[in-house]
Amino acid sequence: MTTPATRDKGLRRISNLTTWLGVSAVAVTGTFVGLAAHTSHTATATVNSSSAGSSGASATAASGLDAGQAPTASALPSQVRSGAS
Amino acid sequence: MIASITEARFPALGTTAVVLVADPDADLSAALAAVRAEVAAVDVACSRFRADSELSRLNAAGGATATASAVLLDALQVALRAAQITDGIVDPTVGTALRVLGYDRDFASVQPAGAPLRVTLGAVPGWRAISIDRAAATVRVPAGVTLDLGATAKARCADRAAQAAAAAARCGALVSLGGDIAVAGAAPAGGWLVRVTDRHDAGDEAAGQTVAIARGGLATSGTAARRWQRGGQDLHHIVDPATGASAASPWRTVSVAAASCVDANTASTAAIILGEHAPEWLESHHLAARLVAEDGEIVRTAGWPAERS
Repeated sequence: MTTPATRDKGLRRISNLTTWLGVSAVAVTGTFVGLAAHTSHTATATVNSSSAGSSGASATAASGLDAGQAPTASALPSQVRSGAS
Repeated sequence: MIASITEARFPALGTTAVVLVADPDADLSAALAAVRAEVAAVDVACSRFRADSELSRLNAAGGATATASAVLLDALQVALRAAQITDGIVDPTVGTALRVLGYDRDFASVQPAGAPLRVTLGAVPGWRAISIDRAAATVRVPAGVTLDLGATAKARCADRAAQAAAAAARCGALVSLGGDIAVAGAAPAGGWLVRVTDRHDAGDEAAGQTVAIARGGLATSGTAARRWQRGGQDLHHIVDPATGASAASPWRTVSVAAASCVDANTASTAAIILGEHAPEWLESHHLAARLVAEDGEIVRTAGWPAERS
């Protein structure tokens, strides 16, 4: 015979299990994303070392463009212009 | 009195160089001298229009292996890196295409209009044709291939010049070479204030946006400058390596901020050529950019700030 107390206990177990499954899925996904990113980076670096002539590219040749920091908006008068030249 | 001056300008690389230092008491003349030295070195190594430049001699070598200075080697490696990163969208082997399109001399001497072109355009040879032996300090460019380092050499020069200026002045410095901007050292409070516009020589009333940067570089590429006509057809200096023609782009201006000026300019040039795919490409590289369409619509990517009203 199922009582309200045992039913609630069962529901909490299911809820906890669902939560852990979700966390595990996120962790596994993150691991694969990390592996994929690492693999991709390695592949690009390999191309770098073999495609710039007999001595390869320099040590500064990165696998991608370096984004740096986004600018911020300003309402002050500019000091210099950037435009097509 | 030099100590009170924080800005200097001089003609450089077919455009205008601007040097700013963050400390009004800094030695601007030392910074200026350092920038002039960097510019002079790049000009004699990388100019496509100086008969006595290393690049001109390399382009004329007929496929023979040639020795190269450290400055040219660096510029070539930067150009090849840009080509590799962009999958050949920014390619230094566009020199012949530019020449047949009419951009065959310093732009100030290019006729603004002329007869229709009677040439067959096609894909450029491609950056993989270039061989660099850094240990031997030699380069080989196949016969018939002409290099143009315009997409990267000026920006690389700005990066190097900013570092040199900051070291010489012992404070933060900004160097702009025709709107290719690099900063080094400590920025002034609130950052360096840059107005992005269609043309770097636009007046104060020109449409644009003012932003602040604290490090790295900011560059703008566009079709509003270095334009000419042949047979009534509008041409410009940004060549699509896939066609050998001036890039047909929905963007008239693209500004990009990056960790260096050369990366910013590589990306802004690539964005013009990529056309409608540019915003997605810029986002994928996490590059903050402002793209201005031909109709004036503005698209921003990766954290580029909205206009202040």
